[in-house]
Amino acid sequence: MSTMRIIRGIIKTAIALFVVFHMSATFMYSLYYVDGVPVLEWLFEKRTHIRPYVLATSQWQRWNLFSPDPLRRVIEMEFDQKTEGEWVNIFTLNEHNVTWFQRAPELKIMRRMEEENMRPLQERYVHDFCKINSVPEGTEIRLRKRWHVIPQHDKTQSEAWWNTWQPDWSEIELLQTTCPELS
Amino acid sequence: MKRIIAYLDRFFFEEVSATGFGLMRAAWAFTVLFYMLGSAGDVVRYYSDAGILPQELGYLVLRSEYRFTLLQYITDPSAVIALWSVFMFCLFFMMIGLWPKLMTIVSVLLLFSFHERNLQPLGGGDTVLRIVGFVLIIAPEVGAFSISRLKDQWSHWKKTGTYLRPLKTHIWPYRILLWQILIIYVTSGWDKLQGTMWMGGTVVEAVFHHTHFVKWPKEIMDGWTWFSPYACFYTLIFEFGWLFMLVPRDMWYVLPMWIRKHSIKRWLIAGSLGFHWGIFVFMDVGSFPLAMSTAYLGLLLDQDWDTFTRMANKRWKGKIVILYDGMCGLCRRSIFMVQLMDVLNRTKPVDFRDGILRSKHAPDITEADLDRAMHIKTPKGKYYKGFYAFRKLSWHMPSLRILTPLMYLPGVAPVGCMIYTKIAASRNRCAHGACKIDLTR
Repeated sequence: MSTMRIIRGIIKTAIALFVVFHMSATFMYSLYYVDGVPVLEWLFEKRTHIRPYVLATSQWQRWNLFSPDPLRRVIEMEFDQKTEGEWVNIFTLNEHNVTWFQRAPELKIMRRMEEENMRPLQERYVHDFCKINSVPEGTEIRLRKRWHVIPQHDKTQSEAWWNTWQPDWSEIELLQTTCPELS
Repeated sequence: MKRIIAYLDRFFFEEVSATGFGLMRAAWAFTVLFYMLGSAGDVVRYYSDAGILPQELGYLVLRSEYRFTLLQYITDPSAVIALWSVFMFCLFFMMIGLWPKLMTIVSVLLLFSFHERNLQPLGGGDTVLRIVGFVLIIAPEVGAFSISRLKDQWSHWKKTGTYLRPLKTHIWPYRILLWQILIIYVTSGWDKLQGTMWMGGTVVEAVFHHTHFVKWPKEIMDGWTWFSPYACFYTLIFEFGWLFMLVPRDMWYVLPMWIRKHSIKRWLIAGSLGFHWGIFVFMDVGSFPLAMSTAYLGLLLDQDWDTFTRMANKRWKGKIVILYDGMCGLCRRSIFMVQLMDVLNRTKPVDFRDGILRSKHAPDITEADLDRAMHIKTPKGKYYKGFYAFRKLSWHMPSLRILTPLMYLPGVAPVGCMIYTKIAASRNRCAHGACKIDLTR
């Protein structure tokens, strides 16, 4: 057997092994932990071995698209400015006030920073808002979250039912801060 | 043992067309470029330390291990914009195929860098783009449909009058891509079964009222709630339908001919395209439909291209004869391009300077008339010339089809004729394969 043939064989084996490893790694990483399913529990435990590869190659993934059940909570953020001792609404972050390109990323950012433990991110977002909109330094700003939940049914409702349904909004104040220096 | 090794060798290293991966490279670059340019105004906000996620707040949303991004070191807004600009140029070069392999590697790594810098705005489409990008990096051949390939084709054509053999590659990157698409759909379908709403058929009616996603007002979406159970079950069936791709091809031979004569892969791709672009009609889910459509291009192999050609030519007979001037460099280059784009194999170039060929294909047109403009002759014997010939030809070139309707807009034909006349008049001043076109004449 010629040397070239041996080298070619080694390269081919290495490629084939890499393909099998990559397929196994991406598959294992995208599986879910489900209580009571021993195979899934075992695979989930073994994820530690492939984690460095999957993360370092940016191949992490989780395909929980609108699942197990879809997101039914609708949120929007209200930006209020204190003017003469009164809070005045100056902006609402929702699907109406972002561009087509911003719609998916910006609303996703909003959903990811809505929790209380994300307060530093919320504050940063408000400060960024001040900067973009040239709100003067020292202006008091308040961030409110408004939300409602789309009802869940056992079976599909009629058009007439949906026609009469209206969202029941709730709201909570997330933070108050002052706009930083415009730089 | 030998048979097993031969089977494994075929499984990983069978030679297949590299056309799909070439198209996927261009489409990937287009998709990323489109969405990155669309969010150009937010580059500083999303990716620099002056934006909404400075590094010191990263602990809230970013993982601390195995995260590599150039933007850990490039944090100043101006530097981030400079890097983003480099990224855009690389994407453009990747799209048109200038140094395709190098540009693919640089572009994909830069996409990883931008994504890993801020995970907050990322959605499913971004994940698909990262995954497809990785497959493109490791794929040995992504040069189809590229400027680099065009240059090689031209050199070869000038020397031999023939085109290079179609690009081939090993099948293993295709296997990885297919497996990845299976993961996307099957794990997604599995997760849907863990809830109650998908099996209840009520997901779509709920999502159609989630204002973050829907495109249309509530009054319109209310009228579509009846659609919910059908859409839910269709989604589950088609997602798990991708499992059929795990069944070895040989096993399909147990099925009746009327079933197995169809490609399950092509049906699944068609169903998936319907699904994703159906979602696009009703909802805004970012780059997901375009990213998935990009991935499907990589799944197209030789037999798929053959089937498309056969289907497109089902009602087509004969050839369109293109009468061109073989003495003119510009005309020869044009014919080279036309033939390259003639993937349906519907044209036949004929050099009208050859008297025998002229009298055979265009006996009723004089050489002087042919000299004034390119003529084509359809299989039915009808002649078109100049701009009208080009417009007619565009119907038969899939890559030009997008321009065809535009050429029928009012006012386009006179302008087209004028430009054509200028170019045709200048062509005789061509020498050594180069032409000076004087549009002021």
